[in-house]
Amino acid sequence: MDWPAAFLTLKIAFATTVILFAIGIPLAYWLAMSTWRGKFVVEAVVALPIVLPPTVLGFYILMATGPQSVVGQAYEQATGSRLPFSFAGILLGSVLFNLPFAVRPFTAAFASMNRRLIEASWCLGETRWGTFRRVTLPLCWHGLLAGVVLTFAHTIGEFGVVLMVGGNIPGVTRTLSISIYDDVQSLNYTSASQTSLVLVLFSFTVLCIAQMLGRKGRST
Amino acid sequence: MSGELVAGFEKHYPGGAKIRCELRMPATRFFITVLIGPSGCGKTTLLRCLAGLERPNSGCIVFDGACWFDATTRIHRSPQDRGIGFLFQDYALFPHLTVAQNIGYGLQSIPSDERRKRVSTIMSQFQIDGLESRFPHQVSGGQQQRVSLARVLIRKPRLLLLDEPLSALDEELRELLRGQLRGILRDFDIPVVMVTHDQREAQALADQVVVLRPNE
Repeated sequence: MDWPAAFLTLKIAFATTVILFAIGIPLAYWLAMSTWRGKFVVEAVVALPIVLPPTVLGFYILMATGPQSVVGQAYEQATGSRLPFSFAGILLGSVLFNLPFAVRPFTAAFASMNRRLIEASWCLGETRWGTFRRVTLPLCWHGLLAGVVLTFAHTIGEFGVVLMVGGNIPGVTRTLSISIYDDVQSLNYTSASQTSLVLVLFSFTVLCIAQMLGRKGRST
Repeated sequence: MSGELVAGFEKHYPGGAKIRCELRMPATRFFITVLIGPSGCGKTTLLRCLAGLERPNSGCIVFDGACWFDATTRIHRSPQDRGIGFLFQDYALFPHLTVAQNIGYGLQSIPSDERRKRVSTIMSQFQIDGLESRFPHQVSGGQQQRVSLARVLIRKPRLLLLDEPLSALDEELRELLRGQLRGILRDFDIPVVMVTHDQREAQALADQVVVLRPNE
């Protein structure tokens, strides 16, 4: 078991989940509640990473954040370091790639809520934020938590985007999936099977939790 | 227009159908206007426009001298700013809150002791005391209706909007509450706009009846 890779994988999964929770909740709420006709374009953009090969997304992120790009130059000026082949780079790739895996369950949770309850809260004088805090969140938390769990699990298994944007630098960008790939390349099947088994058990447990939360959310 | 609710507005549906509302009634005392019409004629939409939950396409709504909506000047006050009470057809009780928490929901700005006292008083008044710690799904349809009405009236709204308040009840209970509802509302001395498709309900409760026709 490659422990630095395991630690890095958990670190990136945790950071990705936190960031996606922060940007995914407002985006999902807007997608669930908005009646704007052009909403489908935003929905398509959010869902794009589901159908796009990770290498394609990784390639574009690499191009968009490279030292010749506007984003890459701005980042380098601000921080003194480069995005590609760094932790920040793979974090950016991971956030973009996992966006639909967070936003879609969040949106489903908000959309399944009875909208009358929100309107009833407004008519009782509560603000939009107060309504979100006192009515929407308590009624949707199972669905939101299921989204968080799925995002975390999906990030753990990240491979294509991370390899394209981060390469394979031990302790910096080498995650568990890349470690398995390395082991197989060097014919170290024992290590590869151990790491794979850990990932299978972890993914199975997480899916059980997500299914349980989803069922609980539907029954309340 | 001080002391009156004056509403003259139009709401357009995506398919091209329009509904029109012309309404004038006292705004500072007990008075019930019933909007009556068949299902699908836009009764609930008109009520939602009065509440601020939907924005009409043209016209204006003025309540006791205050402009709530004006299409030309683009004024549109939110439901929170209008100080209305809205009783939804399905009551819209919060399923994760107890009966007492539901009733006290709109009183967050007052101290909890006073809130508890007011909740207790109105629960006695509506004969639903003893249900404080139950959840909405644990009480009957008639009790849910009373909880919902208590939740709205405890805030002393300036205008009460009722969307088919008795339609979710069985015939026997509807008959009973039809007789009691006007008395309950009179005690609070506020203007009421109610929609229904039931002519008997309109006759039993209304001071003024406005008949709506489909696509008018």
